[in-house]
Amino acid sequence: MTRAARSTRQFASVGVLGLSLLACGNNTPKIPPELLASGGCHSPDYPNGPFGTEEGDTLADACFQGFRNPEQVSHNQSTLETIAFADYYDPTGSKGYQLILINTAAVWCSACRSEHEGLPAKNREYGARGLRILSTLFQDARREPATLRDLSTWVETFSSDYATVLDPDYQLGGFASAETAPLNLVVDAHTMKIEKKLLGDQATVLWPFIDASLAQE
Amino acid sequence: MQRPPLSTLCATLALLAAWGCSSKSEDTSTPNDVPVICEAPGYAVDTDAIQIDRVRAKLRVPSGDPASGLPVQVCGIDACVPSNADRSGTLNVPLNQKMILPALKYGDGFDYAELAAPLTEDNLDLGELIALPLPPLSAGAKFSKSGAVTSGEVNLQLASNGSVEHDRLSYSDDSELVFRSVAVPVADSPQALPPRFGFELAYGLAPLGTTFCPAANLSLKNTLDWPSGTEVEVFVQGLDVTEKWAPYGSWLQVAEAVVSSDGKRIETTSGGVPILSSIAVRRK
Repeated sequence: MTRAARSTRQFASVGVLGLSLLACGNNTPKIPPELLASGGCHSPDYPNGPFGTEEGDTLADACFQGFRNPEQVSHNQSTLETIAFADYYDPTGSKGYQLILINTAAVWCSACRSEHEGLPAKNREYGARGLRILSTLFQDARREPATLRDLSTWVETFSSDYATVLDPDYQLGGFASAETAPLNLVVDAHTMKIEKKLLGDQATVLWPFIDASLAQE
Repeated sequence: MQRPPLSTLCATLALLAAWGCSSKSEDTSTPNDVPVICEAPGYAVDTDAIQIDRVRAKLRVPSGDPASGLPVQVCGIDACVPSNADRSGTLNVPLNQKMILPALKYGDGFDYAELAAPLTEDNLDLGELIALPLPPLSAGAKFSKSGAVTSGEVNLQLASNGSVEHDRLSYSDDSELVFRSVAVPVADSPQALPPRFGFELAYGLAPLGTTFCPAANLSLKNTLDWPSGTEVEVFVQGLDVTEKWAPYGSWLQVAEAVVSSDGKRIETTSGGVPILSSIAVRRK
């Protein structure tokens, strides 16, 4: 329950919703502590709240364990990195980041798998224009919290060339009703405001939006 | 989902595809042992999303007991929502969202066979569904690179120069990669096996998503005592939203079969099973 409370604190503006979601969730509490990166996530330069979960709201920071460049490293405990939303915050544009696509996925979610088959190509297409993709894997095929083995198999199966992390305590659960997956958030890297929130693999909406947004930058 | 023209097209494509990478039961090799390349035909079509407010069903196991805690998914090809039956086997999933080609997938391919019952705006209360426990993993049959693999009444013949690929994401433990089958009570499963198809035998198979190249020859026990020489059509259900091997939520003919001369088996004569899913057969 303490882990749940930590997650809920990050979405304080939607506390009631968060608590109700936690009550409905079926994650087991047996999550290896080394995979829980949400504690101690702190970046002094990150935008101040209030934070929220809807379009126009500022995204609260969160930390995860995962692979920043999965195609460039072997996939084991020693190559896991702590990756935070704050890593992609680029207020001055000095990092070259324009938009962040934050995506949720689960092994049981075949729509997520379908979506990820096309993500590497989108990453190559839009990466040079300032898009960064951060995908979070939250559950395995039996709806247990995702593990390092799941993450490794996931990035190898889909040849993921974008940051892919574990979210075993489902920190992003506050953004979606129940455990609907996938969820896609398009976030402005200059402000960390949520520009677009889409439930499901809505490629025909998502990618034209990203394309148009990048064109405006 | 009533899509007669598409179904016809799919069936034709599937048979042609299966024909191209399979062979007759009595000869499962290809000349000169040339490696066979099998490409998934793909069946995705553009379809509008429909509103799904709440999905209801009552799930029980064949003994009549409630299928307590049975894992299910309400899945369109664009989004998935998981849920479980409660202790009384009642399923009540509030969604309030749009989905493309939604279906209720009941069972998980681990402890229970998985079947898909298509959903429409007018059909969100599915009534009673029979959940089918798979045999325990210890009773499953290990896959070899070629030859026969049998579970219960279902036998698959794998080509000597073929390949077997498992869904390692779902089945990460080798102990789970064993062939298992369970008979589906066709008459009691109209939501997943629509009567219009005329199916008479059906089986849930695992591990789901395992693919065979070339498509595996199928042999079923002739439990309905059809006469020798009876011609039969074999279908697989699309459980995967990528629709690579079958249209999602629907049934696709993948093979033709005939009752053996001794009347004991139903054996494929052309085409085959390209992917482990649920299968069903009907007389021609």
